[in-house]
Parts: sequence; structure tokens; C-alpha cells
Amino acid sequence: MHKKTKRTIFLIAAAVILIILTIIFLFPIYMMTIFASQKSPPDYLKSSPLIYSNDFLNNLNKLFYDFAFIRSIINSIAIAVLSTVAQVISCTIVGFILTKYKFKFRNALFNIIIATMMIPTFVKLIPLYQMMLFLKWINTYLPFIAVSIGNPMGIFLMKQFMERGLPDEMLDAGRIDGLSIYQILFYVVFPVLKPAVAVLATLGFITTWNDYMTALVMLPNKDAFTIPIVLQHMLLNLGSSGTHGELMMAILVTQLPIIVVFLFASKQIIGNILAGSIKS
Amino acid sequence: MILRRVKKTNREILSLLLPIILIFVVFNLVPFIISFIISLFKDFGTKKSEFTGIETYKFLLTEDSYFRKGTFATLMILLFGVLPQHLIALPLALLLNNKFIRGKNFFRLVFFMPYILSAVAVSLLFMSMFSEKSGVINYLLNIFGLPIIPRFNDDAGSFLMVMSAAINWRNIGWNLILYQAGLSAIPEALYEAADIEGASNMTKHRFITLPYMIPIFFFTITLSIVNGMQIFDEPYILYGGTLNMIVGRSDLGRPLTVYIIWLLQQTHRIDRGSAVAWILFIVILVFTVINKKLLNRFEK
Repeated sequence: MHKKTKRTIFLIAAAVILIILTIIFLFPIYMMTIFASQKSPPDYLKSSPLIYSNDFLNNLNKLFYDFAFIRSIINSIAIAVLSTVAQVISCTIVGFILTKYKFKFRNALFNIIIATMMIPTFVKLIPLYQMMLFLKWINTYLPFIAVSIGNPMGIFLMKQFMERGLPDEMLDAGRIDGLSIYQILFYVVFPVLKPAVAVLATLGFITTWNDYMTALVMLPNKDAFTIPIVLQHMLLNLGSSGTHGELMMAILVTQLPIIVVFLFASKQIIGNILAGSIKS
Repeated sequence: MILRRVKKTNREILSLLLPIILIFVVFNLVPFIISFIISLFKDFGTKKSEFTGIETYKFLLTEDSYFRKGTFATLMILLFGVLPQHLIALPLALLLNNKFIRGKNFFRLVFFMPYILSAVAVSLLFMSMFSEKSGVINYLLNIFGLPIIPRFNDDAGSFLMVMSAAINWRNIGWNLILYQAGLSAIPEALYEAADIEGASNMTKHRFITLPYMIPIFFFTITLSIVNGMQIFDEPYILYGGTLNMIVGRSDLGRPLTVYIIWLLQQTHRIDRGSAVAWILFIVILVFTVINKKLLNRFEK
């Protein structure tokens, strides 16, 4: 009996702590929507800033007539889609070859690829900028596509998926049917690994969608700006051309899709981010 | 292995592998190596290029006040932006590990969600929440009769608070997941055996959980240090870009990562930028190696 009361007290305390933490954690998301409904946040001494205001549609409307914002959405989608496709295709091919074929230096190659995961972006950024300047690729989508081809984390994840989910018998069957390696890739590997491809594509898309440092260096021209850069410029323009509500609406509009995707695929996303960044 | 028409297969493999590896080397490995070479020359790549050796490194480490301030800011981010993540995530993981608590997946979802959001968007959101006159945080503090937080543009303490809040909020869930993964690796049989012996909860934590969690704690914290030293978006956004560096404002807004971009964009001193990058990289590498060693140890 005594032990049971102790447990009850513990569970109540735990519940209280968890509920408070949940509220704290969801609060910024809640405020994101509230801010998006206000023209500008009210002076807190006069009225409560916690309550939904009625400028939501107004802000949304203004945002969609904001040419710079729309252009940044197009740029961000284009960059994210193109580099994700490049990453998924290249990583599937390399992962496939590294898993299913034996050749000299195979393990050495894999180890080198994995070791390069330790190199942070900022070390490569200055020479990369000089290279892009030389190639005249500044303000284009090309730097992002070039960098994502053969992404080590993608190769690592694909290799893991293939070790588990791509039986040799299936490939042998393809070979007996007289398929070339290209046909095997296209007709066997990609279809069988669809779930893995979807996971890798989601992760790649989110990473590029959120990327700021590379975009800041590679896209100095207004026409090439991506969403994070435009968000920062909206902040700098507060008071002159933009409103606070519009900025917050822009944040809501660009983050909501990620939240929705996350809610539907949280298990895969969490598991694979985890695998990709610790097991390397 | 699966294909035995060896010669033809080799050619096919090469035709697929070589272009990808080549592009990877050109755009990932080459810049990495060149950045070290750039750091050894003044005006690398131009006609008046001149070999300076380790002069740039000497200058940064002994004379450069921006480098000193940048190092301080990076350390402050580690202290206030990274360390608290663990002080919250570890107890939270222990709490969620309790078998009587329900809805673990829900909490996992709630705490991890911020991690996938854009750091830029989160920084802007937190700036608004912590704004002095209209911020919702000051509104709440005022209701509870607590002192309000001053404008973070002028006040170093507030600046650090907003920046740390944004960084912590985004990363706590990430560490929580790591700790949960670690806790789930503790064999259930150990606890059952302790139950049979009639051990109290405290004893169980002291003799089973703790010995298992110490290496996991060091693993997670070294990983966080590696990631923390690379934080760029939050300080850069809160600081308002690199232009303000000349103007002044809180030094805490320009850790070494921001300093690198400033050197590239504002002063075009790519030799110094590359040298800063390499110094930071070496430090990160040390922690990465420690981190991998720890991982290998408890994978056995």
C-alpha cells in the first residue's frame, strides 16, 4: 500500500512536469500563429499579446502579393527539389555498388566517404565560393546540386537500407532476365527501395529548405534569394516596407509544410536523422 | 558477386561510380584541401600571391581581437546554448523511461519537432517573443510580477538569453532521443534482478542506470560540442548580419563561424577566413574523434 501511494505521487509529479514542458515547447508554435494574425504585436501593457487578432487573412493576402517572397519560394523549391533528386539518385547508385559488388578498395572508398562527413560546411565554403565565382555559377542553382551529389550521409543511409531490404535473389533474378546494371537500378533497386528513397528525399529536402549559410554565400543577388534570406531581409525592412504580421505569416507559411510532413513521417525522420549522424 | 561477367560489369560499375565520385571529390574534398592552402598565402590566386606560411595563424592567435571575441562567443554558446540542453534532456529521458508513463510517442513528437524547423525562422520568432515593448515573454513576466527582459540589441545578457533560448528549444528533443536510445540499451534483466533483490529505485539508478549513462552522457555532450561550435544561423540572425560587426553591439553575436563569413563577405580576407575555419575545424576534429571513440567503446 505504501509503495502504491509513493508511485501515485511520483506519477502526478511526472504528469505535471511533462504537461508544463509540453506547454513550454508548443508555446512558440502557438505564438507563430498568433503573431501571424496580428498586424504588429500590441503593447503588452495595454492589451494581451496572447490572443488571436483578426489580421490573419490580411497578412496572408499581403504576403502573396509580395513579389520578393513569392520569388524566394520558387527559388527554394527549385533548389530543394533539384538537389534532393541529385542526392537521391547519386546516393542510391553509390550505395548500391558499395553494398552489392566486391572490388578492390571498396572498403577504403566507403571509409573515405564516411570520414568526409566530419568536415563541416564552413571549412569548404570559401574555396567553394571561389570555384563558383570562377565557373560563373554564383546566383544559380548549380552550386547546391553540385554539392549534394554523392552526399556521404545519403550514401550511408542508402547502404544501410540496402543491406537489410534488398535481397541478392532479387538482383540475380534481374540478371538472369538479362538486365544490365542500369536496368537493374531502374527496374529493381529504385522500386524496391521506394520507402528508403522517400525518407532520404524528405531529409534532403528539409535540410536544403532550411539551409542558410551556403545560400547566403552563393546567392548574393536579390533574384536568387531563398526563403531564409528573404525572411532576414523582411526583418531588416520592418518599419519601412514590411510589417511584423507579414514576416510572421511568412514564417508560418514556410514552416507549416515541414511540420505537417514531420507529423506524418516522424518515426522515419527521427530514426534516420539519428542513424545518419551518430553511426557514421 | 552477383554478376559474373566480370569485365563488362567492371566497366558498367565504373561508368556509374566514377562520375559521381569525381563530382564529389571536386566539390567536397578539393575545397576542403584548398582552404588550408589558401590560409598559407596572402591574396591566393592573384598575381601578387605571396607565401606567408603560418603568419596568418600567428596573427589570429596572438593579435587579432576579433578572433579572441569570436572564440569567447563560441564558448558562451557552448555554455548557455548547449549545456542546458543536456540538463533538461537527460532528466527528461529518465522520466520518460519510466514504464508507468504513457504517451511516450506523443512527447517524443512534441520535443523533437522544433529540431526540423529552420533555425532562421526560429530565431526570428524568438526575437519577436522576447521583444522588449511588445514581446509576449515580457507580458508573462509582468503578470507574475517578475522583472522584464531589456532590449536585446543593447543588452549582452538579454542577447545571450534570446540566442540560447532559440538554440535550446531547437535541440533539446534531439538530445532527448539520443538519451532515450542509450537508456533502451540497458538490459531489462538487470532491473528485474534488482527487483528480486528488493533494491529501491535510488539503488537501481545508482548501480544500473548511472554506470550505463555516463559514457552515453559523454558521447552526447561531445556530439553537442561538435554541433555547437558550428552554430551560425541564430547568432547571425540575432546580430542582424555581418554589417553590424563594424558598428559594435554585443560581441556575443559573432562566434567564429560568423567571423569566417564576415572575413569573406566584408573584408575579402580569404586567407584569414580559411585560417579561422581550419583552427575551428581542428578543435572540432578532436572532439569528433573522442566522440567516435566513445561510440566504438559502447558498441562492443
